Amino acid sequence: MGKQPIRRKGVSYAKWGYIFIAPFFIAYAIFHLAPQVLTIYNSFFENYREGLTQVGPNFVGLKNYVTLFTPDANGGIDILKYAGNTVALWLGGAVPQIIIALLLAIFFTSYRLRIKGQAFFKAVIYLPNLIMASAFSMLFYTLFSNVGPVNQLLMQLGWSDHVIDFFAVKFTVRGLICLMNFLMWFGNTTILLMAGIMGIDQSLFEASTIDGASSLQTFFRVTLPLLTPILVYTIITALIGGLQMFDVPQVLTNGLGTPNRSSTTLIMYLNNYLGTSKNYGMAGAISVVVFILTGLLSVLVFKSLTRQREQ
Amino acid sequence: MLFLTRAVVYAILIFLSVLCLFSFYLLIVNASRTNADLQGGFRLLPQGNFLTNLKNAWNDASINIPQGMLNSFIVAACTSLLTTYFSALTAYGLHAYDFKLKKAAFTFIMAVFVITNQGSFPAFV
Repeated sequence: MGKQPIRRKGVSYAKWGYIFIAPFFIAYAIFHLAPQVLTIYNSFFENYREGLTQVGPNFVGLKNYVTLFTPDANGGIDILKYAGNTVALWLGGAVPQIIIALLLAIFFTSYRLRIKGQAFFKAVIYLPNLIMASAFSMLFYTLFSNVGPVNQLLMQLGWSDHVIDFFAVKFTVRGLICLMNFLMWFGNTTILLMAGIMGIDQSLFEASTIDGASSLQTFFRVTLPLLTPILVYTIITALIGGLQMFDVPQVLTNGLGTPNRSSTTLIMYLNNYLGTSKNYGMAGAISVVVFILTGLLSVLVFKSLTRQREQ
Repeated sequence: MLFLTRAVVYAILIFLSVLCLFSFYLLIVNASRTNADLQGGFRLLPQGNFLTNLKNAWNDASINIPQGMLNSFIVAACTSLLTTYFSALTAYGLHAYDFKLKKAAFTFIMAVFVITNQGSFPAFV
């Protein structure tokens, strides 16, 4: 008998695995990675338009970053002010969003409460999310304008004897932006957290009830620790969305961040550089700063919340 | 006690629903009023001009709503088709096959989740 051919243990299909995931990575490289790299590359160049003359692109090293963090005549650093605005607007929307969503998720999943009309409530709270952010803020702009229905309503009810200019006061503008972000996202978060709670073994809740734990104890000792992974995911996505907040304040304040730039976010600041001056260098630098900030904060949230679970 | 809890829960749910629906309701009410009526103040109930307004907006040549809707539909349909196709392809590849870089690829996809999208838009302009 001749030599037996060496039999392989199994056929390797690894090649097909790579072929299957290749389209994603190719698309990613073209549409995400290339712009990202180009943005970083652009941030080292001086490249803008002044009137009709085009300046650059000339390599200037870190000059754009230095300019970004140089105080202006009043001693204030613009980017820090805008970062502060962004964080304030994000916190105002995200904190109630997560608390209310957690509360609703517990209501909906509680077998003791047995809420009726769940399908209706779930549909209603998800409704604002279906509308495009810019359309939603246009709607709010019209509602709260000087001749809008809200002012008319307040005057007819006698709660106010004069027209309230909602867009001239820092507090109301910021409040409206926070309210809109809250309304748009708390339904989504509720659905996510509900899925998380329903994934927890029901027998654990029963066991804690039999052991005599109160609702609050069950929540803090059973639900919350087991919900941490989903909660971390929710907070991080909310954080990323919040730092990139752009369309709501942009449309609501007509791109000006009124009053006195107190509702200008980081991305609106970036967008200002892309207006008539087409300053790709500075815009790139801001983008890189936002990118680093997002990464750092995400890692921070992730680390702090997962460490808590281990204790 | 349970009754009280339920009452509070329903109150919260109804309040949030009203908050969510108020702006849409106002939008519909105002869409059903004539221009002259709109200047006159706030109204709680819809009026009878909804269809007329709708027809006017639809036929307004300066905005061209039908064309806009068609454009949106084309973009949305293509985007969702491509996204679903690419995601399904990637998910199947990761699930069904074993290969060396599987774990690395999965971690990378998760990390991409975190990376900003809007931040890189100067490069698109």
